[in-house]
Amino acid sequence: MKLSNFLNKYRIIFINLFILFSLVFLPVIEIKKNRLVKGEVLGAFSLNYQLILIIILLALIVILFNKKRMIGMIIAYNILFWLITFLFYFNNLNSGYISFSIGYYLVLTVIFLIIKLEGRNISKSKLLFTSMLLLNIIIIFFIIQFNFFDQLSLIRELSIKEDQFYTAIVDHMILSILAVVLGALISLPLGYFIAHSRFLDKLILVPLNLMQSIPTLSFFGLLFPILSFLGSIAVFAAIGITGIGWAPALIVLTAYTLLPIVRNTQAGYRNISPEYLECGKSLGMNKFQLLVEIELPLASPLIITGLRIALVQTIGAAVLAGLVGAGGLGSLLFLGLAQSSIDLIILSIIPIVFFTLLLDSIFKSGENILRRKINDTV
Amino acid sequence: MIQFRNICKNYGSKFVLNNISFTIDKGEVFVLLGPSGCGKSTTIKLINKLLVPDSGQIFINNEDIALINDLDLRKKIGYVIQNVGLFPHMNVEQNIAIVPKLLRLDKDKIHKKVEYLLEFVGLDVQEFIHKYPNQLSGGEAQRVGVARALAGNPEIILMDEPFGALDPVNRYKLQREFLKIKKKLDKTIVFVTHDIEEAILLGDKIAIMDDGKIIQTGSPDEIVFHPKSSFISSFLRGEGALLLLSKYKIGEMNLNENTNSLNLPKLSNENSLKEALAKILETGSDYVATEDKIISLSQILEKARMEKLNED
Repeated sequence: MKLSNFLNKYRIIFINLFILFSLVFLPVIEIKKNRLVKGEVLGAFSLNYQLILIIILLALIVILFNKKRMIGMIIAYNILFWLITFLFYFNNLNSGYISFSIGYYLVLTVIFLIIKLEGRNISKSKLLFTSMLLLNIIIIFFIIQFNFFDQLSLIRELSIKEDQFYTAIVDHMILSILAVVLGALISLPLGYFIAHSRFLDKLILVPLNLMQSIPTLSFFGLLFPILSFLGSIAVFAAIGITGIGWAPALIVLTAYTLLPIVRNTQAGYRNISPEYLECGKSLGMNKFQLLVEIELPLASPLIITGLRIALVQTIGAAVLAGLVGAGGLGSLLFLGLAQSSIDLIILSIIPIVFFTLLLDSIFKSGENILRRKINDTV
Repeated sequence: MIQFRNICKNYGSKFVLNNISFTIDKGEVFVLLGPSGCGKSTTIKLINKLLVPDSGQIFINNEDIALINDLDLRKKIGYVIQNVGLFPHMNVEQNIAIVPKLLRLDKDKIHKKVEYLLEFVGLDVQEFIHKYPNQLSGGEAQRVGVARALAGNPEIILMDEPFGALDPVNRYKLQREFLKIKKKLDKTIVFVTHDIEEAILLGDKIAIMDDGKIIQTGSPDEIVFHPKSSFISSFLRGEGALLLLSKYKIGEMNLNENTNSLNLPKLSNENSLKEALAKILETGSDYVATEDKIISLSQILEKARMEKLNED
């Protein structure tokens, strides 16, 4: 038997062993007297006999779901996640600041991957799957709303920085979306034109490729003298353009959205079979009618793909806006780095991950709807 | 109706059409026949100005089409191509309604027109009107393609190998239906094919092309009995006269009534003389019977000889 087949066949066993070893041998939870001091690190043995509960659940998953994988397994892993979270938290109650450590996050990642990967193969129990995800969101909402985990240092960090945190999220998202909208306004027509001209193609794509390869930080550096100069002119100063702040952040983020949108838009139009265009022409459509009724619908799935890639990439890259004083979650993240506060770092990463996954899946389902609409079987 | 005068067209240094002139009369089916790469598709695309000739003129109803607006011209010319003619993101109704919409007819009229056209090409309105192209079989899609070409009430219809992508059974079926529709329509049809059998069966006039030139233009009979060159003879594969028999239906012949249809092989009035001949060869009988008629081997041969005489 090939190694990959072997691993695949017994993957549930390997995964569960991995989870167990992570819990036992890696630090799962850290107890601190105050926010910044180094604390005491604990693994699964600190749970004593309660560790058996986790082992039983892991064993049950192997016994029940090793052969046939179904919605039950996904629910079981979901329960495992909450079991680990609650057991570790309530066992260390009243010991000051509690924060989860590497072992916990490793297990969280593994469970997330299982749910995401296996969740794809479940077609019959879509409703059950969705309601399970919804239930998780409700639980998290209640935990935050009623300060349930108030000794968790993450939650404490949140309550200290609550206003700052929510403003950062809003700033971050506004900056990201604005950059993609601006990028789309420039790239969509550009993509259309270069799809119809071999000459423009190279003329536009080569500089865009070059621009994409400039490291973000040097990009800020390059823009600084230009924008500082512009900022000395009254008109630009009036709308708040300076060498630092929102202006360089928006320009850099917009610049990075151009290539993915232009490329995919171009591919979208290029992929249309020339027979369709000839047929539309032969029916007496003018250029505008051809664009609106034939080209745009047929190119739309790939255009949405471009927008999705640009958006996902921008939400991540917008962290760097924190470096030039444009706010957003980056400013919190760099504050956390400066203070070596892991909790603050994690706190600022969570919304980034959340919005990236959310928008990615929304755009993906949009693509699928459009694909079905044009009856693209690919 | 349509007149080509000294048309030349080249792509780069390669001559595709070399000084072509011909006339298509109103109401006839004009077939452009030739091997692939002979310029027949280029010729048909010149008529609705998808391509523009390098020199020469094309007249439709004595009007130089170079002076007519492209879009207005195309709305008055139906166009059917093989395979991908229908837009995948539009259902049957939307596909057929494209030209009426461009002509700004009102919604009620368009809907009625679509229903009428679907019936006309032999598709059930309720079943097909909301289907998408990927839900149609090749034959059904091609019928919708024809309905769409008819939607603007064009005087001229261009068909570029419309049955080329169909399987033999469906092609046979659609060819017969084309003959039926053709009578009802009374439109000028320009038909491109590389299939000599299709050309003889469907065409009123055939122009045989090779290497950017028209070698011979004439009725199927003329082509079969008086091929101008060895190229045409090779195209006919030595069975031109047999192909010609497929043009005539048993039902159209002046024959004896079928009084005693004992154990004679059966065909229908719709079948061609070629099929009757094949039946006779297969069964060894001297006669073939239809619903109300009876035809003999000698009568079939007689008909073929008559054609030859008429031609000479």
